[in-house]
Amino acid sequence: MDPTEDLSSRVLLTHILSTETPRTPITRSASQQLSTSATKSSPRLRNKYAVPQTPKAILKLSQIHKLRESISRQPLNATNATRGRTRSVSSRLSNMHAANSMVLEDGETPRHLLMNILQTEPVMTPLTHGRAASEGRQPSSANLSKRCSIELSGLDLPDLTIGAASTQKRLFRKRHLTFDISAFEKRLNAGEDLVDENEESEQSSLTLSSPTLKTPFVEVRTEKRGLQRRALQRRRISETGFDAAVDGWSMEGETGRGQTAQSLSKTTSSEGFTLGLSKLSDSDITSEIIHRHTALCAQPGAMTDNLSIVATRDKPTVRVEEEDQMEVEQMEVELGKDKSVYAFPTEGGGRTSKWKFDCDDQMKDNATVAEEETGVAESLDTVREDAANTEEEENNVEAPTELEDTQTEEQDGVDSQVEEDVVPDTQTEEQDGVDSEPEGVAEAVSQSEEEDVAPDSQEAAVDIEPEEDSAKSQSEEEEETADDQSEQEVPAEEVEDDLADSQPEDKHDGKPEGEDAEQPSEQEERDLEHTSRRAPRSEGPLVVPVTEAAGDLDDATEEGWSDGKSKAPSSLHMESPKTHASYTDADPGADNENSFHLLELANDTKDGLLNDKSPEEAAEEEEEEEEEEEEEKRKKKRRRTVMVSLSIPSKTPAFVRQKMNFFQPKPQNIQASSRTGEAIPVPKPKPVRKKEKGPAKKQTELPKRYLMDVFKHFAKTKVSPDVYPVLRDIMDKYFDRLAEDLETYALHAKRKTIEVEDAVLLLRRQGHVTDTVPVEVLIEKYLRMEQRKLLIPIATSGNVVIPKKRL
Amino acid sequence: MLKKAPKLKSIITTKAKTTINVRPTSEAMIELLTLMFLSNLAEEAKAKAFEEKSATIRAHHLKAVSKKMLKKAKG
Repeated sequence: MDPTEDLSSRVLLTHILSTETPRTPITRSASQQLSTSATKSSPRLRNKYAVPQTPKAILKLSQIHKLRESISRQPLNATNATRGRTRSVSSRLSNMHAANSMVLEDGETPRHLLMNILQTEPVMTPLTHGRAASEGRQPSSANLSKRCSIELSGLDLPDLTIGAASTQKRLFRKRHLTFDISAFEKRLNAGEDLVDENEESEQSSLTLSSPTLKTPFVEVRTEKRGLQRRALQRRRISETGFDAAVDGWSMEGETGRGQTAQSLSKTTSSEGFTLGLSKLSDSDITSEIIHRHTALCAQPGAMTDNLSIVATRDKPTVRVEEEDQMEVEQMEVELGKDKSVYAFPTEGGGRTSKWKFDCDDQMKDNATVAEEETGVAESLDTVREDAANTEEEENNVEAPTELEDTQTEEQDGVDSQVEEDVVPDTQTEEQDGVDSEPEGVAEAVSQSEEEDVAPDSQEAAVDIEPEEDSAKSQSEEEEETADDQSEQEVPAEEVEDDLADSQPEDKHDGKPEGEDAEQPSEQEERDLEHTSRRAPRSEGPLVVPVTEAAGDLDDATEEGWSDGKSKAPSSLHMESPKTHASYTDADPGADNENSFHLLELANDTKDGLLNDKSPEEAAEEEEEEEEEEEEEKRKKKRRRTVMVSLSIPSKTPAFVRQKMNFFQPKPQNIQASSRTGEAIPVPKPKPVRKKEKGPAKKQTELPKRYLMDVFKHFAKTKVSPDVYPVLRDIMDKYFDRLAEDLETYALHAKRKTIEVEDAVLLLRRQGHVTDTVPVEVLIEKYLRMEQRKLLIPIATSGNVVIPKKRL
Repeated sequence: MLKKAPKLKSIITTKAKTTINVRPTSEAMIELLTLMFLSNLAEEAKAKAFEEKSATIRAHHLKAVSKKMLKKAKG
């Protein structure tokens, strides 16, 4: 356009010059006017001088008028109105020069102007003469100057000579050309009826120039927007890309680590920001991303390292995960087994199976006794129905069938005790015992079969038998009601354990019904009645052999044992049906003794049983224990411990032995406590229980206050306080898994210390840390400042980084 | 108000099968882990409570959510 316009302008100018006669326009010292801000004056002068004689003049005047207006509007530049005839020329000139409105100077003829223009350097085309005032504006002067130069260069071609002086001024005014151009354009477009094509072209050129002026500014905006848009686009794209990348990872994860690592790192780096935005819609994540930015900015190297680490980690972790999973599964299986095994001693009463094993072991111990007792039990069953009669029959039956004198004696002692006990109690118990009796019989039979296996148990049984025998004999001698009661309380606990063990051993059908009932029920650990009943039954046959061999034991001790035994089963009876109270009293020594010894033998103390029975027995025990002699009990305990150790070592595992040892002192405690007062024994078993767990199990609970506070903080709604137990259990399980995982990771890395990277790996596996969400974000979000300082290095003055990087 | 989570280190060392050490930095990370777990748990419990149109989180809400969260938090 410009060249064409130039040509046209040139053409016009040449034409003008050639055609029109050189008139002497009313020209003042053009230079003066140019230099000075004679913009206003010039138009006036022009007006004065310029007499519209020709249409050109008229046009010129109109242009001048417009220029004046423009000047008034825009004090930018002293627009140079076209002079005289060469309105078009001047306009062209102004346009050519990319200048503002041209202010024609009266002093200069168009020819002069043109000449000046031509003379002026191509680059330095001043153009406007009357633009003195618009010096202040130099916005796109550079562009304008360039354009002017271009345009002027075009103008140079035509035969125009311009005064050198004007050139400087024109140059000076180039800066204002930009504004003038726009203004001039406006004027041209608005006012004049473009006659000359050139004008139009000029105007168009001007219009063209104007957009060029604007474009830079707009470009900036667009650039900014473009950046923003690009970011958004990235976000959106990243979703699909991310999935692809993930798939690529999974595919390549196990193969080309290096390549994939690189690709991953690239993808992560490129899509890192956007991925986060795309994947996560939470507003927090945007903040996190911002944080990420800051983090990245803070530690560009670290981030890239993290990314690369993350990228590389995924693969090894994938493999490691598989391995870990295998390991973890294995470990879990093992742990599960171990836990299950471990659970027994710790959890105590709830595990019948475990106890059953122990019972079985102990059953073997009592094998010899069981054989004899089975027959007695059967006889006892018949006896139960008739309280007194049964007892008598048992005695009769036992007497002739003395496979072992001790056993029969024990049974006799038991029977005698039973007889002495209140008959109605026995009757009531008998009713309950009937149900348990068949069970007990079956178990006794099974037990008898097992008896043949264990020689050690026999030995132990033998040891126990003499004790039982002695105890039985003592029981016979002693008063049964009161003493039995007290003793029953003491050995009750032990009896419970023994009863549990003796459950499978229903040797003592000869014993009162309760005993038989107790044994099977104890096995189930659910029917206290049965268990209590069985205890005395089991105790009976056991007592028999023991008493027989219990020659070495002091009478006092035996008595104590017998009392204990009698009391124990009686107490047990008391616990369950509560009708056993009298029954227990009725079955003093024998039952207690048997149960007592059984407890000792078994020592598979079932915490549950003990605890269940302890409160119930407490009442009875208290009564009975008070009467017992401490010395006897202590001696019994010692012997019990010895007996237990003998019977158990080979078969029971270590933890069971520990439990047994634990339980041994239990009755001691109870006995002692019983003497002091009734109230004490009741709480004692419970704290004793906890003590047992204490050393074995450490306290692993968060404080209640802290836990509830944190939970309420995160919940942000009301939280009822009854959630605490549930929450505590949940946290317990969670800590178990947490510790297990962390330990696994550390050990896998052949370290003995849990490191930060272990925890980070766990976070990653849980899905809290992804490629888009780095750990630092979470750290900054959740942790306190002092912890953050530990984890995220902070640069301080003096090129010091805290914490120190240990490299 | 809320101070350091007490006993975290002892809990972890207790529950760990083998004797293992815990760095203070990793102790902070463990706290982070527990906080994240608790926050997720609380959020889920809150949602569950809202389902039942109750503004208060109760024990049964928590119980219903716990199993799912524990499964999610296994590494």
